[in-house]
Amino acid sequence: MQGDTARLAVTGELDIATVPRLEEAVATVLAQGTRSLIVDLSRLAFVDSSGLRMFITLNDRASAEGWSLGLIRPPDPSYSVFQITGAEENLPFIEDPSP
Amino acid sequence: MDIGQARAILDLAHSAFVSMDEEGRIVYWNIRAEEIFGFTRAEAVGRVLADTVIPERFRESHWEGLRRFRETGEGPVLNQRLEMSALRSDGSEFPVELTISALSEPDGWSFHAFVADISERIRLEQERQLLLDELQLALRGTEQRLAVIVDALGEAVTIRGPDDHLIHANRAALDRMGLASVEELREADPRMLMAGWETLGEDGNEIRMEDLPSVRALRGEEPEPLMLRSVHRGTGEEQWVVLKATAVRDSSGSIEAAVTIIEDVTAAKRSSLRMEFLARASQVLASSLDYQETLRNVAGLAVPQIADWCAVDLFDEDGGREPVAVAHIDPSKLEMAERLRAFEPEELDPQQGLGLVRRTGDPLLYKDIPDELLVEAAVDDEHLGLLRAVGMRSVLIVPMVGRSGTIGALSLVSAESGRTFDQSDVEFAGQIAERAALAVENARLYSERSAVARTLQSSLLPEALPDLPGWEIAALYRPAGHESEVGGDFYDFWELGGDWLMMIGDVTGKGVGAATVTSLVRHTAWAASDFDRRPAAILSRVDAALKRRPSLSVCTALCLRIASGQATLASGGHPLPLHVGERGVSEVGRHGTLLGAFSSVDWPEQPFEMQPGETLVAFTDGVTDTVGEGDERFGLGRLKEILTRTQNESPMVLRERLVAALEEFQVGAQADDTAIVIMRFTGAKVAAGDAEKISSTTGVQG
Repeated sequence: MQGDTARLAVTGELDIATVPRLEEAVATVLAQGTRSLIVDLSRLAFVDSSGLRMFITLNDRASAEGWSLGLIRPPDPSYSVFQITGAEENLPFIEDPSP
Repeated sequence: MDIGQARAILDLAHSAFVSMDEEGRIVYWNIRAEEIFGFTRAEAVGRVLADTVIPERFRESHWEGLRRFRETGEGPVLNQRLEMSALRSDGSEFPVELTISALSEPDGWSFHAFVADISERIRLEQERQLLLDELQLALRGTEQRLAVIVDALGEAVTIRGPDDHLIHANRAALDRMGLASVEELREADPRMLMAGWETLGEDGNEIRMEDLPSVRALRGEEPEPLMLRSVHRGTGEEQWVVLKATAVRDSSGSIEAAVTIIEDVTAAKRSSLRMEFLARASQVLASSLDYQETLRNVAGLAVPQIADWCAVDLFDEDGGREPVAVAHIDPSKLEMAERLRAFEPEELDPQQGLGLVRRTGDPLLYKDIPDELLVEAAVDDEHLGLLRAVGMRSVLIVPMVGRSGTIGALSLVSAESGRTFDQSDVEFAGQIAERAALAVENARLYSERSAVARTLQSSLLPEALPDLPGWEIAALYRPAGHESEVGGDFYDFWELGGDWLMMIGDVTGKGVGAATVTSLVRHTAWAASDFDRRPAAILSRVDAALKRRPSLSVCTALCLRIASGQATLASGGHPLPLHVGERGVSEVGRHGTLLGAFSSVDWPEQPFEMQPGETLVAFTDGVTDTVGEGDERFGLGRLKEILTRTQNESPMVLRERLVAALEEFQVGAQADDTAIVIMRFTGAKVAAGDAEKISSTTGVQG
């Protein structure tokens, strides 16, 4: 965590069983007054609809509360979920600022 | 069983009840535990059990035992009575007796123990031993002196002479035997005396005169104390006693008598038997949602320790009853119970027996069942014969009272054991019945929920697949998880002016919430298609309807319009269907936006034509996300591979192949709902009228 920018990295699978853990981590980070959150999905192996739903909720919340959210693109197999659902154009995918 | 309810009951228990999680932390602590250990519930819960009540020198073996159980599932100390030392809050130690059982729960093992403070019992035992030692010394004197000492004791004491005759007994012992004087005792044949009781050991085997400690002491043995259960053949009174005997030798060292101290341990023994039973019954009651089986198991546990017969009946709303369980240690006797049932009226008599218990909700104790009562109850000679054959001595019926009133009754019958029930049995049976009632109600609630879920689910799927001219269709729906939950996948077919619309989708979430969204999606799609039957227009309406909901409600859906072999497809964030034809297996259509989620939306339509023999397979992500060995997913690749191999099969056969492949691949429980729709275009039987409609459809599309 640098200044008011926080970065969370997700490794492995994001589904109904693991979404609560990410939600918890996000809540902890936001409670510290973060104004900019980057979620690194570059090591995401799998994501299902509940994971997708979580990112939609998070993005809506960022817009409403006025902080910024950036998602670092996951590798192809898990990125396809974002492509199939049109989330690709609607969620704030970014280039990794610190590769 | 509902945890809150169970705990409320446990607070009423006479024994301390303590629960621990698999990390060794106290998670439950009843009122009695507060009393005996001196820690309040608030202080105890959350603490490490070992550091709280186990003396330091035993802690290591406690942790070792817990570790071994977690690794191997073996717990040699479980489900049996143990005696050990425990710590109070002031640091003092005291002896306890306890029974530990382990339950497997979703978040790990939990351990439960009934604990009784046995300080008093141990103290009495020690006192008796002292007494016995003193007697030994005293007995060196004359028989007269002996009798004086023995008579001064409150404990029952007998003295047996070398010829096995009882030569002396103090007042307490004479009272036990129902004798007026020592003279009467001396004249009696010892075998005849003993025959007045049925005497059984802890294992249920008969105790003969040769087994008595005093008789063995006379033979020069050094017998261990013997615990036996005696039931007086006349009164039916049951007692548990411990006999301790010691030989008395004269100055030359030869045995001249044996002194027996008879300790009445009835209360302690019953309480420990009941503790054991309650611990096991609680386990059984929490183990299954099949309440009929559960009640049968509980009835089975009750015999023969608690009663000779145990029956459970549930009441129905029409004044009748459902016999759920009858248990007896001897299966051949069960037949008798069956035959007796035939004599019982359909409707319960509110003036007696089960009917009375049902009406009043109070327990009913028939301490003695005289023959006149049987004669009165019998409808004919055959019935009376049967009733007599059962040999009922005492009957206890307790109501099973749950949240919704008296839902049934537990009947305990004492027969061949000859014992009679008393008030402590009424209280104890009441505790079992209350637990059983809660277990039944919870199980019923659960099956009602399952029924609601099934009804709701079927209302979200078409009742039957339609007969689409020129098409063969098969569909599959497999909800994941608990049967009491409604899944989020759905599919639907409907006809509109000669066209057919097919929709398959996946609402995120499960349960009634997901069902509400599914219902909204289907109804919106039907209504929308009346105005505009283009798939993209239908998806757009559904998207708008979902966005009007107060909380985020998202859904993927595929909408397909079919007019004979002509089709138009749009996807709202849903996996694209697979087209199976001569040229292989490929995705058809273009990706569109997830419904209900985003402000920027686009649902591009894809028109295409099916050739006879070609198949379209639409599915939800539950298929491709199926988890296999090593967390591998089934994936689109495997699905395509199967479809390539089976491309000439009918939709029915194809569906079976897919199910088999998924089941073979899947490891563990099914994680997500699965829906598949398989449509094969045969091209057959396109009537003239249909052809005309096709052209009109094409017109709309253009």
